[in-house]
Amino acid sequence: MNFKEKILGMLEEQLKAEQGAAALYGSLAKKVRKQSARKIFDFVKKEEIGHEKIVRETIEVVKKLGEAETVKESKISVNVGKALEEFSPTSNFLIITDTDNYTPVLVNIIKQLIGGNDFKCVHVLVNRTSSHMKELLKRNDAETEKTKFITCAIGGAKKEETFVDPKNLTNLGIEISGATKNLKGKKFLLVDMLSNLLLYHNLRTIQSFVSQTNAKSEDEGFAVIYLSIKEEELKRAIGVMCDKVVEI
Amino acid sequence: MKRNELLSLLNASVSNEEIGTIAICREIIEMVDSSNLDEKSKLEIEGRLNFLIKDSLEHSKIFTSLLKDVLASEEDEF
Repeated sequence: MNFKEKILGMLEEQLKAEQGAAALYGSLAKKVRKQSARKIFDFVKKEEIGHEKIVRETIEVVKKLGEAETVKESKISVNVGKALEEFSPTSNFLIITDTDNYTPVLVNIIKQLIGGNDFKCVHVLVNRTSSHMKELLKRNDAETEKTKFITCAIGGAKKEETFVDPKNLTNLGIEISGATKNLKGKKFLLVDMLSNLLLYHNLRTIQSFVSQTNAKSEDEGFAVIYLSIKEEELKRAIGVMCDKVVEI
Repeated sequence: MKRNELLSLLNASVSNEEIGTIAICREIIEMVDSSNLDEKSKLEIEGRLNFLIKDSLEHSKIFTSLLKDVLASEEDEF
């Protein structure tokens, strides 16, 4: 598949996603009783209808393009590569990025450590389901078979997924221990996204969770990456407990 | 609507925005930016997609804030 075909395919996929989102938010606006929630769903639905138009316009622009090709490695991929240069099976890193770059950074960490460095992974998803994550990774040609997923997305997990209530960090710790013990060879724990735990806990509780996880990683022989959106307080509090803090 | 059903749909909505729109648009922008397309075409595509990303980030924040409210609430019906 060439460059233009690949982008058109992705835009067609995006067009379907915008249509699906408008339909979902429209039905939620009708179903929900709480007035403030209804207004929110209605507002977002209208914006999604506008997005549909923008995606159609973008498709037309791409259709008119001549042939092109990708000529250089993406900047995010290069920055993630630099950040992970010193990463070893005993490291614990805090990687911070902004919301805009969060997903590409996440995907690049997984591709470079699992695909390029033969690590296995225990991936804790604080606010996403593993089925969503697998879909995202597959779309980006990233490995999913060497990863054990633990989801904390309340209400979103399917029966076959490993779910831990994000309010119960003791259970999360137990689940992490079990999962890391079952993986052989080089392995790392990926906490994605640490800052979202602030929805459920205060900073002191998160510090305690990180401290216990770091102690566990030393005892049981696995590396850790805490991936987070930039939050100054969290960065200061957790950064001192990690070998390295990287901002991408 | 039951509390858990709404929480489930809000989590799915945040995922849709983040894994759907934001991830796909970022990926296309990266590909376009690192391609040998002319600058005018790049700007035409990237401008539109950046607009979608900006809105989707906003939607994700709105849904996360609503998720927080629902989590903090004692009510079982919404």
